[in-house]
Amino acid sequence: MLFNSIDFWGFFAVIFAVYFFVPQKFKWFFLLLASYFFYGYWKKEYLLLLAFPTLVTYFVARGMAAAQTPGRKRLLFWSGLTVSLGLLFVFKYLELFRQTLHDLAGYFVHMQPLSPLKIILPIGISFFTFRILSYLIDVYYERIPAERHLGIYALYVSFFPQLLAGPIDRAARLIPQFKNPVYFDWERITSGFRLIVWGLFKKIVIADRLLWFVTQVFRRPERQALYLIFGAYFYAFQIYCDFSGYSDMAVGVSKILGFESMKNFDFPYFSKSISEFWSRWHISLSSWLRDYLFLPLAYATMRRIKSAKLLAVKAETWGYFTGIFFTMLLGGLWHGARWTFVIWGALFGIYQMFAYASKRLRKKIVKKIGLQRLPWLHTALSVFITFNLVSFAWIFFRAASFSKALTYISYIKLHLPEDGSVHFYYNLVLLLFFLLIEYFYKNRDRIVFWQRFPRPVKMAAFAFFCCLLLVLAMDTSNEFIYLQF
Amino acid sequence: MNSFICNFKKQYKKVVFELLGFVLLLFLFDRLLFALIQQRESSFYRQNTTYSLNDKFASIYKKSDYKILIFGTSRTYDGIHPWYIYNELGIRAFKEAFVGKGPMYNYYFYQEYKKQMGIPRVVIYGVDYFMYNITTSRSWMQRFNTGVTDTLYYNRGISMLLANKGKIDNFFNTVLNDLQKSLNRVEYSQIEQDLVLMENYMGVPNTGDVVTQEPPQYDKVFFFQYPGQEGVYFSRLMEELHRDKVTVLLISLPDYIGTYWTNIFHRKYLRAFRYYQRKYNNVHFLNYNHIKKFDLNNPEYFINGGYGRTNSHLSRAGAEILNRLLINDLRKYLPENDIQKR
Repeated sequence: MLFNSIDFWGFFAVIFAVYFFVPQKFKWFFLLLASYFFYGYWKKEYLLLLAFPTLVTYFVARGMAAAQTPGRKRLLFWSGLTVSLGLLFVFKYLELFRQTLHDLAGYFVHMQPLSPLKIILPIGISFFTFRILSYLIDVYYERIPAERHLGIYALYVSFFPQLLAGPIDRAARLIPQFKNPVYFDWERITSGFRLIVWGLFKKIVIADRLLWFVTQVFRRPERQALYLIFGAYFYAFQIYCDFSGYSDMAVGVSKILGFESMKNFDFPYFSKSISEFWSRWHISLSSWLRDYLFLPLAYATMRRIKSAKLLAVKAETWGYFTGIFFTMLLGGLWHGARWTFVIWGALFGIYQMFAYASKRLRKKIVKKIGLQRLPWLHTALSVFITFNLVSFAWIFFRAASFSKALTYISYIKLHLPEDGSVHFYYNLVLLLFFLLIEYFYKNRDRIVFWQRFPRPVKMAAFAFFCCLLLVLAMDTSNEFIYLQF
Repeated sequence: MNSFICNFKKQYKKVVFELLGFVLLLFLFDRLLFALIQQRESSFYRQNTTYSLNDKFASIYKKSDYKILIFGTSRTYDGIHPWYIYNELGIRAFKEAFVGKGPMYNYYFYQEYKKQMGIPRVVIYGVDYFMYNITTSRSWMQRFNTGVTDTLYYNRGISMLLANKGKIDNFFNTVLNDLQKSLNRVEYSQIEQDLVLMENYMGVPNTGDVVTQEPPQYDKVFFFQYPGQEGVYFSRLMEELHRDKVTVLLISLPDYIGTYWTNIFHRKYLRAFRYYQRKYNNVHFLNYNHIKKFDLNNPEYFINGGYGRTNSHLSRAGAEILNRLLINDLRKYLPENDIQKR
């Protein structure tokens, strides 16, 4: 059941109609049933895959809370991590691992071709595994207490709006909400509905429209010349609209049901640097990686370096470099078992290491050319450069293999191809329209005339927008990109 | 009482007022936008004069060479090629298969073809799983003075935009294709209008767009049954071809295995077309969409399709295999003296 399918909206209509009549104390049970139905609708067998780590980690966390000795606590913690990560490894990375080992062995001895294992990646596994991991780590470090209620914990792991592609909300934020009473709040419901429509617009009007052009240029890069640059730009917006559209819908659905999810995107393409981009892109994952990977790695590195400097480089620089590079690398690998994702992650690691190392130099250059006197130009340039760096990295993310990404880059030319594409111009117009709305939405609190409009006028504008969505929507059969991760 | 219901009672006036207002506004804008699109569509087709059939027929050097007429959609356009037929059998085939051409178009085209070229010996009709769900593009219907374009009705529904979504998309695509013409040197629809280009067209190579990995979940599609959108015209055409004593080969083109499993109820689909074989002695149904006849598992033979995709087109390599199979079968149905040994 995808958010852009009729099935889902039929399902949600039933949930919505019944949910508010369910007594407060049974709401969690109703949502848990709905969530398991939602996941089982895709493949019943994989319900076990959701239930098993939930049960194991529930008891592990309870065991950790009750553990008398640090050794026992640590043992439980690692066993919980092994179960969760083990499942993720088997279903997601085993094939890549096997293939890589086989290829490596092939350099030394003659090997027969390897037939692939036919493992179907369970949808949403990376997302609910990360939710479980953050819970285990937080309980281990006693940041949150272990949840006593198995049902509430199971709901935290499987909450259907966030189950397939996030946001990866933390237990500290979500579990208390499941325990609080939910009241009918018309304002909250309408704001959730607006988010859903906006998400749907991003997905079926923008992302699905850009998909066609992007597929064409990535499939046949030869003779596409300048279109290849725009192909990367369009893919940047396609994946943004696709994923943030999904997140908006997930947040909207949660909101209607009475729960506040964390914001997953904050206009990332308006970022002035790569580190700012990562604080605005897939926020629930990037903050997860920051808290559970980057910071521990960076501190561990700094602790290992006993002196203030090592090889004339400060200990904190070593800490930052190690932390950011490995975090980005693993962040890339989280997306899927393909080397192109690892390269994509590594590129972001290198970008940020370079930015860190060249901070002073860049400041000097800005001062020398007098750019600090024109802050708007400085901002525009920074946004443009950041966007281009991000778009360049997306080429590796989108390409089927590393060699195909290089082929794509090698065909880039700075002139338009001989045969024009009407879709190119149409997409450009559509993107400008989208950016205009995004800008308006981002600054809606500062736009005075909009604030002054009475509510019926705003309602009329929204109704018109809904109709426009119907006119411009592409067919809804395209899957969300992030569902494959 | 449930706290939710308590809260609802406090807000219900606002809720009812805003809900009703919103629905009313939706209804209003839906009609307004639809009327606007309808008006633009009419004026677009009135002004559009580029879809002429006369040029196409006028370009033919020797009309009597053409003994085969090929109908179908884009699947046939990519799958069955006159080039192979001419090279193997020495017979020219007039291919009219193209995207957006449904049974209604084919029926009217056949009337025109008879007037201009005479009755063909054989009609090859590439049937699709979704054949009864096709609506002929209005731009193609402009070629005939049938008035049919005016009678193309709009579906009624609570939302006119939703009920006519397919038709609106069709119109937008026509506008985009029209704009595309002004940008391109040689483009897709130019082949449709130029018989020489069509006769030399042998398909496109595989570009790796086939979904070969079976996803955990994908939508399956039922067979859209007769009469559907334009099934009546298909029946009329079969009847007329029977009266004209034309041999008809209904060809079920191969689908990539993923598409094959996406389109369910194959028996119904096969029965729907075998019906014509039983009804008319001039009609023969040839099913190449079968693993025993064609390697449906090989993605190299297709340019698209796959799990969750209801439509699949043959690549150049796939078309070559299909055309060889078809030519073997065609020999059985063509009079011996029509075939020139090569």
